[in-house]
Amino acid sequence: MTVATIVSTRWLGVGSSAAVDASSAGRAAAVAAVGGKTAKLLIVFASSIYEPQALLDGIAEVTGGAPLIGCTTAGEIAATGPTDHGVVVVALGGEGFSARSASAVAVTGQLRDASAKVAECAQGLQGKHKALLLLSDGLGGNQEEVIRGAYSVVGAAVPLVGGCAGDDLKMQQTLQFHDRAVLRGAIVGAAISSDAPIGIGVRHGWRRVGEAMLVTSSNDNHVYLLDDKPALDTYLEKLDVRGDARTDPAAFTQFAITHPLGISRRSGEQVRFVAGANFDDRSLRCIANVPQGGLAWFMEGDESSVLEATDAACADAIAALGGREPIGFVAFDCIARRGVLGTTGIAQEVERISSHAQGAPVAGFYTYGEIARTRGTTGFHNQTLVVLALS
Amino acid sequence: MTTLPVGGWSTGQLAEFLAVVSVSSDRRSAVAAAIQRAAEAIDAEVAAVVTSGAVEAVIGFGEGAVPHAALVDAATGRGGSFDIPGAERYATMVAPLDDFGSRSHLLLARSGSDFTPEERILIRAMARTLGLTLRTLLRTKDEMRAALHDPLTEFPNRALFLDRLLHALAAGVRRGTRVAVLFIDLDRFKLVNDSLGHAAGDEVLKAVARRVRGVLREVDTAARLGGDEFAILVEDVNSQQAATCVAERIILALRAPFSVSGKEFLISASIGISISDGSAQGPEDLIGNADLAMYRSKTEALGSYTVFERSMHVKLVERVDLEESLRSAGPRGEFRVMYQPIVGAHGDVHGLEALVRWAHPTLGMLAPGQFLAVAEEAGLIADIGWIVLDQACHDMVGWVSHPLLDLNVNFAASQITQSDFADRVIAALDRTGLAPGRLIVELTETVLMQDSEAVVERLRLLRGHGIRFAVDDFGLGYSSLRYLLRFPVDMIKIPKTFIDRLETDGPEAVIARAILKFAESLGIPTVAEGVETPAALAVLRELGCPAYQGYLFARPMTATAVTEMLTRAHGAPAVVWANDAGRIDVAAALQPAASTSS
Repeated sequence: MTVATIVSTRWLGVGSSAAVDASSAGRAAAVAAVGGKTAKLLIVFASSIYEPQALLDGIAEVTGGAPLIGCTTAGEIAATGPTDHGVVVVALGGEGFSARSASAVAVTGQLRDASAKVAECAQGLQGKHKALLLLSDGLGGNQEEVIRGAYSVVGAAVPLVGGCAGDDLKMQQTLQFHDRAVLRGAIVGAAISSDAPIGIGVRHGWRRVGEAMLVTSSNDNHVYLLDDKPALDTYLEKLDVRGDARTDPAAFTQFAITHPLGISRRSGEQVRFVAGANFDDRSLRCIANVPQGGLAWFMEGDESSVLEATDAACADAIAALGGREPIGFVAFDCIARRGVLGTTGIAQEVERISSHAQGAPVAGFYTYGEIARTRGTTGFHNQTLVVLALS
Repeated sequence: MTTLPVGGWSTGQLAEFLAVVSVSSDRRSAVAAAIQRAAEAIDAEVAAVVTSGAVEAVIGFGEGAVPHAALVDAATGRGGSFDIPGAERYATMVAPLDDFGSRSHLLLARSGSDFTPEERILIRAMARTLGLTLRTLLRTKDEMRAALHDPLTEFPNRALFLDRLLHALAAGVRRGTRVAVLFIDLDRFKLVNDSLGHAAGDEVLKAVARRVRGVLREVDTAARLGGDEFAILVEDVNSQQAATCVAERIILALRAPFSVSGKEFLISASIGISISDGSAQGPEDLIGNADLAMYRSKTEALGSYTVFERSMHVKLVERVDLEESLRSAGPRGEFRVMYQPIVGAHGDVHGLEALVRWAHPTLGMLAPGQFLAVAEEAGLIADIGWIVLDQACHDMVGWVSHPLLDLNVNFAASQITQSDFADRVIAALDRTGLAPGRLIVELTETVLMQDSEAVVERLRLLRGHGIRFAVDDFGLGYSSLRYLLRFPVDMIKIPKTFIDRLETDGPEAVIARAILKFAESLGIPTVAEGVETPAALAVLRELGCPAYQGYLFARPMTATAVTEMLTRAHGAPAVVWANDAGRIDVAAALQPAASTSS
């Protein structure tokens, strides 16, 4: 009897650097990621402190013309642990992988169209297993439209995964990268096809606080009234907020990172990151749409619940690989979870992710919103961990 | 239908669904929003609206991979099946929209578990919410159409026309093309309404609209501005001829008789054309200019078109001034009555036609052609007619001693239709003492064609007093002669148009000859108007025309001149033309200023 051994040539490499010089950091991370091989796709997560063009130029010195997508972050994730003010480069290559990339700058109110345009890169891509990786600007409008636009093009056949770029919590300006271009307010995407399964896991780990409230006045991401009272005042009262967070916007944002809003959905609730408050009109600003007329809750989490969610997300991603071993993980982890876990906690979290990866490389970044659509049509999350497992 | 549990997740979902779908501005966006929100509400991968056997909108499939037939079958209960990628099994739910406009269904398909009873209620509620929204949009659309269209002709109304014109002008500026507006006003349409009633008038307007639409391109806009006024918008006009061609087609289309209530009518239209010049003209400017040009057609030749020229604005100002002066001309005694003799075969005067002149304070003596159209438009024509009647009757009384002398006075349609018409005529005779048998009322064929019982009654009343009737400008109006049976007339006047070309063998001569023979056969005396040459007179005499009027014999003269002429006759019939060889024009010698024939 002859036994044929199929040797997978698909590979995923991760490199990271915390070098101060952008070009050097890019170059170093790229060298480690590609390991001398030819990449079919590069995914870059970089701190906003870097001069972006120099960073991309440094990477390109190593990788040549390989397609690249990426964005700025609120912290980077690599197998070596979480970092701040660094860069992580993920490289995909080998037979059995193919990828196409695209980008579109989203004009105000046209997020859906921009996303649909990016999603067109998935059309005609051959391969049994596919996913569309999307990186967007979480500060730039209702991110549910990103899901809707991409879904209108690829339908249920292609899972969506990704996250919203960060800016090291400055909440001012995020950047997106496409090849050697630095973009603002854009959506960048890469359609990946593989001979082997692609797994996606999604968990958040938050729990409800108090009674449900009716969203009596809202418009897109802005929540004006909860139970007919000013949303900010309701938030401060029900969560018993004290100190500077009651009056100082920066302190409020810091507090809100660990106290999101949950909105009623068939599956339970969808978490909304409260990104800020307007102390003049007493409204809350979320990262995604909070529909008027719906039910909502305030939510909170602790280290234990967040880490449990980490395990669950990784397990879900692995389970979707159909018994194959992962060749790498890419994690999109909400900055809010980092807020709950603290410095020690996030190190533990990355260790857990790495252990689930069974030694395969791990990369990712701390996001301002997460993308994962595997079932149904919705797929934009807040305060959530999304794990992409490739095999 | 079971109600949704209050406070459950589905209640909130329905509220969100309603909030998004109900604000849609059109069906397309409402359906698109509905399938998106419905799918999100119940975590469905596929959502579609299937309408009348076709997929109206769908999400869940990649572009080019939509299983149309299977979705239609699934939505219509024929068991269509399709694949949801990555799903081993899926549940489907179909709910009717009940939107009245078409047979539409909302279809949702979700991988994995079946729909729960609460989800099924929610889906039905969302379908009905969408249906209600679509019905509202449909009603709004109908209402909007009603607000912007003329219900009689279904043409766009003035508001919509202005809007389209505004856009067309803007597009024309961008494209470097021009826009033409044709302003159409039906001629003598009031007569149709007055004689046959407004229902018949409406039928005519509908028929006119159909004919106009029939000669336009699909892209041209025809509108009814109100009453008997229509407007046409022609875009991308690259020459004046492109616009005049449309006008010619409309005039031609309206030429055939209209049949309404068993009667046939001839309705012509006067058209004005204005063409954008690329400058910042507004819609009202263009329509106003076309209206002005239409007015020119109306005054110069009914059933014709005129292209707007800037000079028309000047003339408009002149016309407004003229109308203003005209209103005070009567009270100031500025109307003068002059008389043109009606003579026998040898120049013997046996009648006088009263003709009005206006002694304008600055413009001098104006002939009827210079102000009667304005008077007609301003509604002053009847007043002027009564002034003339009074003056003429008064003057005539001074000449009654002259044997066999008759007085012809013209009456306008607006006088005949006045309910006290007969009373006023008789009162004028009574006031002046003129015998009714001396008065001949001149009416045009158009007036006689009114076919109104009230008018017939008034004329019969006058005839009963011994007043006679003449048909003026015979042959220029309606061709029907039926009115001669209803109003036995005493005189037919052949217009100058036919007399001028009598010496030729042209159609005018043929018509003149036919009229003479026709009148002779009915025993109705004829008067040839506008006789200016001995040659024309010779032909008329040869044809047996018994009476004439024209410069060959005498120009219109003042009452003083008439008195002098009659005095010279010393009680015998006055003669203004002696023999074939020469002309003795007494009136011309006495006439202070040249005037035209009536």
